[in-house]
Amino acid sequence: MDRKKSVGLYIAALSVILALVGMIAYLMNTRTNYYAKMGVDSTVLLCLIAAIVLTVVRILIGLKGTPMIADILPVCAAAVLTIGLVMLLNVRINNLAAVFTFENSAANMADTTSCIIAIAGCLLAVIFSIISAFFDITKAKA
Amino acid sequence: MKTDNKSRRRQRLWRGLTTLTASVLALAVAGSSIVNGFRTDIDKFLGTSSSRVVTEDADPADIYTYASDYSSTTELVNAIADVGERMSEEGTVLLKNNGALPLSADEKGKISLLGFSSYNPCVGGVMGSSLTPAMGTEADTVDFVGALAARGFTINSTLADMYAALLPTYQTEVQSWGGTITYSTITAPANSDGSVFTSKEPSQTALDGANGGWKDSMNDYNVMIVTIARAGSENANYTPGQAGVDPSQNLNQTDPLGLSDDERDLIQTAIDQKASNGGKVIVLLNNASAMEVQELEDNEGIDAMLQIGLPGGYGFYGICDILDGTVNPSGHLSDTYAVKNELSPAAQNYGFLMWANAQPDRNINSAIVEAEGIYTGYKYYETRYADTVLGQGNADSDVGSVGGAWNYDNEVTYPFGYGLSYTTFTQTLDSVNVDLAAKTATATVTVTNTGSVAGKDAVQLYVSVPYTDYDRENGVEKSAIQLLDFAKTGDIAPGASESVTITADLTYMASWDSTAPNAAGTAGNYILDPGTYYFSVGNAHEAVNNVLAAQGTAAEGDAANVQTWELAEMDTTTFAQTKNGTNVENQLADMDVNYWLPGTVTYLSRSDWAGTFPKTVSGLTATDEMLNIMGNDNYQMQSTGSDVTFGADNGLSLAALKGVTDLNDERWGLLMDQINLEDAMIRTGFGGTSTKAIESIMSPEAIQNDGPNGIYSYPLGQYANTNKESGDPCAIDANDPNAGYQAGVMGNETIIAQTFNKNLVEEYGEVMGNYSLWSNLTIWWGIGVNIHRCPYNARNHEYYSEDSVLSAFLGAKTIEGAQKYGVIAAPKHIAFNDSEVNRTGVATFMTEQKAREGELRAMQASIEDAKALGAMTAYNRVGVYTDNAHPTLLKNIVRGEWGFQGLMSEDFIMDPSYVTLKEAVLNGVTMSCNTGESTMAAVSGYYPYWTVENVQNDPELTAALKQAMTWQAYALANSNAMDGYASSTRIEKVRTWYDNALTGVAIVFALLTLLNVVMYFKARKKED
Repeated sequence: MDRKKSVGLYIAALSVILALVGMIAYLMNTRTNYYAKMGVDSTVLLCLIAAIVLTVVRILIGLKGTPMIADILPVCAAAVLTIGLVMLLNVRINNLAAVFTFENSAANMADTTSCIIAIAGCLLAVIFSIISAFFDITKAKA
Repeated sequence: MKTDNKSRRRQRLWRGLTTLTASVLALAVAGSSIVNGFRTDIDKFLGTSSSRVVTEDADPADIYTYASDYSSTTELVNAIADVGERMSEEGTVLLKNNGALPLSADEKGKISLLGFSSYNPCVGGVMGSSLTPAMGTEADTVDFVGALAARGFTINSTLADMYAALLPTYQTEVQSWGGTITYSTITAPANSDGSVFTSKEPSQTALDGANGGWKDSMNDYNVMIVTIARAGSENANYTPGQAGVDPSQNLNQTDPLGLSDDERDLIQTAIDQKASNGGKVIVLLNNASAMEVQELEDNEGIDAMLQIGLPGGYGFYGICDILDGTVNPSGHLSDTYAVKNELSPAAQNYGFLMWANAQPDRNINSAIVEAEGIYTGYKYYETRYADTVLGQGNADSDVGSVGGAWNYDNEVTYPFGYGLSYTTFTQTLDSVNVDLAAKTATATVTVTNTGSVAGKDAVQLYVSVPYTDYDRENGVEKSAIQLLDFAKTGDIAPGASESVTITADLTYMASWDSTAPNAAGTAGNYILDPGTYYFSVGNAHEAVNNVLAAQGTAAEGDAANVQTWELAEMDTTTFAQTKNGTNVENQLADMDVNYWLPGTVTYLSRSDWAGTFPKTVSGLTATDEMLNIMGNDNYQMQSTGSDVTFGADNGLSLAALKGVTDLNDERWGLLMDQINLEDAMIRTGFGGTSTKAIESIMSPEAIQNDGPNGIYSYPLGQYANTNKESGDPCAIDANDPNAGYQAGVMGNETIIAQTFNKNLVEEYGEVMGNYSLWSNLTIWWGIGVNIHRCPYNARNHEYYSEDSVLSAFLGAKTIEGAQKYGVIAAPKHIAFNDSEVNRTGVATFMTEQKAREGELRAMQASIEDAKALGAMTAYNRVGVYTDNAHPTLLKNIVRGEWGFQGLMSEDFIMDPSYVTLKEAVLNGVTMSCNTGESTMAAVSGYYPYWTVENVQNDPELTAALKQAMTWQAYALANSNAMDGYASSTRIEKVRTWYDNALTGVAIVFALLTLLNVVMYFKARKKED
């Protein structure tokens, strides 16, 4: 059956991009002077990678049809992404509190930019991931 | 086909809903880890409690150890307000007065407030010791305008309206993530290299533009009060000199702590108006860091000037009482007010002085070499002055002068200890009896009121110790004058006298000599040189003049007001042991930068002021060894096995040791054998915000609070006991009118210091102790005892003074007052956190003499004499080690020489490597300031080396952990945290509403997810 691209494809792709942005920003953040000592949290990283992979696989499968696996993947992707976001907040909340108060300086605030981008990216990725689940990647041509 | 499409749409719908509910389910489940990690903070934020103390079969009279002096929160908050008012009555300093003050009853109705800081004064720190405003309570806080109205003054409403209209022009916006914070007070510059002070005082043009008749309005309100402010703030910093002033402003301002033309113009306008309206000009200095005000002292158009500090929530009542003469001012400056702050020796090495091989990612940022040695504040100005009089040490060279030969009158505006009154006093030092065996000097001083109104006076007892050839040869420096002790008189009626007896502790007269032999058989000891010791009274300058006169010079002092004591031979034995019998010896040799980088610095010596005046030391290159130490991994864990007992079942609880101050009591050992290794590791690793309960020994949770202006982290009602049936004498009604009251309302610490009144300061400790009982807030990080090395430290408002003795005794008195009520009142920050610049990482270098006679002396009495049960360490490095990891500071001096036995927390250090946890525990630190889930997985995740496997086989570390937990338990057992605890007490976990909500959300969304999955499959089946 011929299929044409659905809005779901674009929303899912957007969630992948946002998750990638979040992940890259997080990795950049772990290399800044202020945050470098905290290292890279493997749970956060694995969750983000898993969510991205799951969504990409969903897109690839979805381009060809709507097997059941294509319906399971967005559920898993969004859930894993949510866990990644929560874990990211968990490992950064103390530092954010410190930077906004006792350790507030231009340098530390600059280092925090990537952290904020990472959190925002992941949050938006979760939202778009959930929205994308309401749409198929493609739909059959009439 | 239509059926298929419809079915597919349903599948998409159920899939989407499944994704949504599964995500919320994931959020709820994963969120539980955050909740558990930050439970204490969440509870504080939401006002909930996750645990409950259950005590059965105990008489309330037996389990509530501490009793409040007050029967209600009404009495409590009014007592706090009363102390706050009196603190400013006695801590406000009258700097000049030509008789303009006090104001008459008629003049009270003619007040013109000038300067935006009259309407928006700095009442506390921008950050740190910030005022916690009380509104709708029975002791609401008040600003200047409110206090004036309450005391019957009438202010010029034209000016008030004009300044209100100009508000946007003097507000400061600080950008931050999450929005903009707008301050209507003046602010301190950010703590970044290149930050500058921006004057916000409206120009004359702006004032004329706002209201062309503003000057005329002062014809009917001719008592013109001009307020000039400089803010205090944690994590902020003034840069010395022109570099610290906003270059975009051309306001002829040469220093952030000096005046701008807009401020000068405002004062001059008031003076000009005085010519036509026949009024008075009064200047209020609203600051904590000493300002440059020589021009105001010289300006005869200014009739009177008061230094009011940052007066807190009630201090303006006291200031009003001074203005109208209800109270006679009796405050004396706790800092020297120099003509040019940037010329001081300490200022030569201040600010962002970076390592050449800095590694910011490892917090290896800057190094401060405190090349001024002991010559901080008046010890510099008065000693150099003495040497100009004595003609020694090239004191009159032009090095460090405002211009030309160094001359005291050109360099100092107001000396340390200076302060006027509405009356006059004479002080006569009648006798000084030195008892070396008892280590005391007992001085008797007669204070006579020679004026016409009653008032109090501060007696400042100074000593001048010999500066000998031995000292010159061995690098021992001596201040020409040093404060030994002090006392405040009562109200003395005109013509009356009061005899004041001061028994001074001679520990504070001895000098540290790093070369002297000691009882330990090594080097380093406190010495008394042979020669004549001169004792005198007055302010620091008067005292040194008296001594100089007694020495036969032409100085304008009163030789008759000096008592002497002779010491025939050098004494190296009297102070060779501290009060707990510990031998002293050099402990801080590695704080001398020359130890690591020989020849780097020449420390200032009075033997040659010109030749040794500090040069700026910047761009130092740390050696590999230094870098290695600054990498913060300096203890290699052992795996030889440990026989330290953990987890025993001895059937004890901490309540059994309530009030037991003898750590040799065998029950301490039995109790602490019960603690689990994991509990000890988690509690040291995650000790922030509150000291959590430990069930294995039944130690209670104790809530931690800032700060130096009062216990203010939480409202009174947040942790208060609202069960009136519990037998708790400090239980409150659920709707208590003062439940929202927070006690961060006191004047800042310079005001407290300027009272020179130990009794009043002890009262402050007592009212905070009472507040602690009602609010159940036990731990108080409230005793700021770092000293004012430089006025440029914007955080000086949280510390008392440039003088260690003044700081020491006031800190100790506050602790003594508070601990009567079971408060764990903690001195901070031990030690050398004398600047906010790069405070996480800055390597602080100095001589051991400076360390011991400066900051450590300021902290010593809090622990040795007041027996503080808590202490907070510092962000900075001590030499190249983090403060917490320094091999000897905390372990050998604080715990060893001073005998500190309480809990000890790190400051708010979040970087796990900089926490240096294993080294800190070895040094007696009982907790870091981090928080996290109370599991080994969480704590090991934060500190990768902090695992049971690593720690349990390290005999040194396990012993240190046990010891640290013992000290922590000891502090709690002797605090009001144990109120309500008996041996039968158990702690029950309580599910809070948010726990239930999270669980509910998880269950509901699990069910919804399941339902959605089922519906999805039904739809899918239909399609098939």
